[in-house]
Amino acid sequence: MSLAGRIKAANKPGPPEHSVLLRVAATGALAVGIAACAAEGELSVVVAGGSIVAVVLGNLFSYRRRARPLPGLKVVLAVVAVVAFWRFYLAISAAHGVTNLAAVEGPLAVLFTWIQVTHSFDVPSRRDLAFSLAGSVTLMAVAAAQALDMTFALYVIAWAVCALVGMTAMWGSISGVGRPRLRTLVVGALTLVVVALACIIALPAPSVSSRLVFPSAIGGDVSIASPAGLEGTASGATFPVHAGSGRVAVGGFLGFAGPLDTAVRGALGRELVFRVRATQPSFWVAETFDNWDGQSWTEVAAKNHPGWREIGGGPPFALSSAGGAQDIQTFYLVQPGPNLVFHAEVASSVWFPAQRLFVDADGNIRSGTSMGSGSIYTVVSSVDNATTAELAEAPAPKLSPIDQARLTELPHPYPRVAALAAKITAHATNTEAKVLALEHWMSIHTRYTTDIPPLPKGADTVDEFLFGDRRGFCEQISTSLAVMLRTLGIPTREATGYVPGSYNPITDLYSVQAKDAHAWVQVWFPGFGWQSFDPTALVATVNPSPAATLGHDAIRALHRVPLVPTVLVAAALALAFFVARRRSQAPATPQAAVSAALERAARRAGLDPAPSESLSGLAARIDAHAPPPAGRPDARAIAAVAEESAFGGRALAGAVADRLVSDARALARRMSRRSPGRRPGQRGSEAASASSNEAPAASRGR
Amino acid sequence: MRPRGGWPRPTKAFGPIAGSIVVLLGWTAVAHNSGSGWVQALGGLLAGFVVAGLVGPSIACARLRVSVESNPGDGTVGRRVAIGVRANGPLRIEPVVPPGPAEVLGPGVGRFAVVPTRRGPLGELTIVVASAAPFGILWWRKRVVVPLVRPLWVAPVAGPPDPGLLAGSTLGAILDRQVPRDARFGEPRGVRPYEAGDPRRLVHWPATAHRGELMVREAERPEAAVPEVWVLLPDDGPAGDLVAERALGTLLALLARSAPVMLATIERGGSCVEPVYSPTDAGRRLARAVANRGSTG
Repeated sequence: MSLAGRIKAANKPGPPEHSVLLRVAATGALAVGIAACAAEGELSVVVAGGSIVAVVLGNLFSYRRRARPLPGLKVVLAVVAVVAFWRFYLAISAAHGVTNLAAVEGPLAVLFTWIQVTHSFDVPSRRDLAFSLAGSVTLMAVAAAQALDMTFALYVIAWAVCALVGMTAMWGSISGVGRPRLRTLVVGALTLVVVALACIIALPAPSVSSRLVFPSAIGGDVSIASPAGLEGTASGATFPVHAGSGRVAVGGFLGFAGPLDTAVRGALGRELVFRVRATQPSFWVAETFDNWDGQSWTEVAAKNHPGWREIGGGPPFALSSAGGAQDIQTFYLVQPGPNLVFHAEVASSVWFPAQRLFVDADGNIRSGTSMGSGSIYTVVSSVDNATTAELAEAPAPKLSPIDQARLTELPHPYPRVAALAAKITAHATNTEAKVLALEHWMSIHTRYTTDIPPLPKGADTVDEFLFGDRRGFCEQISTSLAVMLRTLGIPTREATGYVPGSYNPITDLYSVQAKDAHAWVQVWFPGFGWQSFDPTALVATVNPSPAATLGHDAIRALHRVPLVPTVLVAAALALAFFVARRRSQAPATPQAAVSAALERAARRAGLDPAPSESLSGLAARIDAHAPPPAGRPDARAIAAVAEESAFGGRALAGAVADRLVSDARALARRMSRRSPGRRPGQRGSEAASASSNEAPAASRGR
Repeated sequence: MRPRGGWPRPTKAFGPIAGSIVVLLGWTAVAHNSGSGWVQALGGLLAGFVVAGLVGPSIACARLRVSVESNPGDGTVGRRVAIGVRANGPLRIEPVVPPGPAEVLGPGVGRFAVVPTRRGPLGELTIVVASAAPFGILWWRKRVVVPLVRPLWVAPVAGPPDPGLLAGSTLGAILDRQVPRDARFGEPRGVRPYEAGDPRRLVHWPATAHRGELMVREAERPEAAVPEVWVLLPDDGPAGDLVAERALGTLLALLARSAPVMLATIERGGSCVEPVYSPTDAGRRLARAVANRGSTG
């Protein structure tokens, strides 16, 4: 066969597909895909709505003309497809090349949508409908690439249902079975869920390895009043922790304020602060503090510190050339937050949609504009997670004299703390061993709690913690470790930020809540830079009550259950159960339906159907009790037709059977309106039970 | 006899499996590098469709049960024979022995056709049943041997008449002579009680009603001797079929002019020398005929 012949044979239309269910499912899958793209911002609402309407109309047209395709239709559709491609090309050209994939995604979604809309006007055969189903996958993929939260599950479930019904309907069409059975759909759905879960568990987690896309967006564009100043929300408010306390917090956490006040812990809730996409979990660093005054940490000792410097020029902002493994984090702010740029370990470059950033010598980063909800920025960080063995072999810390003094400076000598630290680390031979020895001691002798009163003004946090009841929260525990290390001459600083948060494998995002705010210690190791140590992680909580612990764990487990999919699955199961129950209870034949309706009418009229009573006998009693209005069939006529068809071997035509059942049910409804009520003492359930048990056996139909 | 089946095997599996693997690997790579877990989750669902579509038919195929509901007792080589079957699920049936066109049947009772290629009795069929449930992506099939509800006697096709098969005379002489038909077409000479083996067309109903027992006409012997055809098959293979075809051609030619015709064959129980009255009789006898292996009877 020649090439032209082969092409012609390959494009030969298949036989017309008559399955309405398959067509509806394919149309539904496409509509869900388009709606998902619109929900993720890839399509405008107008384009999406118009496309869905066009897809529905196109499939309707294709169904009507499936056996008689319009001549020249393919040519028209091909021209439309070429126009769609041309528009896509123009959009790409306007996006300054393809280095920015984010700029391509939108036009790509529009192109896919146009192709599907065009194609929907020429889907006469099963193969064409299969292509529509496959096309819906591409639309869902485009939307899924942008999805950040679990609400996208709604679209995934809706699409999966459409695709499942469509695929089973396709097999039903091939095999001539017709509509798929409920059991087939349930088994198919379970298979899909099991395999999908297995894939998600077995496949490697997604990674942010693409360097073509560094998402960034700004959620508020209010300039910070003072350069490198710190503000908490889009409105620029820095608010007090307690009225009249004199202590202030930024973003709800004292650790993000200018001074870190360790005397009091703010009450932090479970509200989502931001989501992070990263290749590995890290502490998300907001600020580091080097100056300890006995109760608060501050950032800068002005005389020894070069202070903040401004970096302009727009993204990307190159910050440092620190070595180590590179990790990319993208932060998606859900709540308005402080104008701190979070990062992991040491930030080397920042993709932030602003013209300037402020950076200090310790690597703290502040934006020049407010950070509203919806802000997105990407940070490339140097993450150097040295092993314990490597740190053990690291030489003793050697910094410049200025930095050594700055990072080991204490407000007063702390003789008791120094003695305690020296005693604990007496057998430690290197910095890392000293840190671990102190952490180990704290894990045994201190307890974690947030339920302590604020320290009085002037009280030293470390003295109160180590030589008081040794109960405190993360700022106090980490500060105590930092001060003990400084008494040993080890350069140390306090860091605040968030713990990684809970990882969602579906969205591939770490969800960080307000309660995840944390403080920890960073220790300088030559050759490895600042290494984080978290003593709080090793400290047990105060008096853990078994009941409270179990209850807390149970609540946490409940919180981990994805609400939307669970509710949807439960609703689907309930619906399936309801439908199956209705089907099992529905009368099997029109005659049985007539019998049930007449029995219901009799009971509503206060007439008890006797077990041995025939249907016609019961109908005669009904008519005697309540003669039918003019123009309405009486019960005897209905019963006569039902009995004759059931026992006389005369099958009822579909329309006749429907009419018969409809008349019987109308009669029952009429009795309901006429009836003064049930007999005293008879309950509804008893009546229903009597209905099913006392039904004349002969009237069950065949 | 119960149906016997083999293990399900995929049909033309390379394309669907290779295509699915490529798509899934590509999807995984994209999902892995795009950093979107939802893409991966969607890919998981896609994998679910692929796995269910590729593996599901093997389960459906293994669960398929097919039994013959009805079949005719007579057939002819090269002509379609309709077989009624009952299946517990939708399937595609492709007859292998004897061959026939493939048919897609729904669950319940359906029909398909076989075209016998060999003369002789058929007690069972070898068919290939296939299923692509639940999605129709890949067909899995298995070979099943199903017993017929009754033997199917496959007669040979009629070949050219062979004078050499006639005993005691030449075919030409027989064919040239107008042999009077037997007594069925004239007045019976008499009646006698029915004996086992009498053709049912000889039953004389008035006499039966009169006597109260089954009576048959006593045929008036023809003027001439009944022509006799002796069929000795050389083997049960194609050579034997060729001889049977010629024998049937000869018998049909004789039956067109005179009936009955005495036919001598060898069957599994021994030799059989009995008259045949119709082409159907002749076909059945020749379907039962086997090669002479020294049996006597």
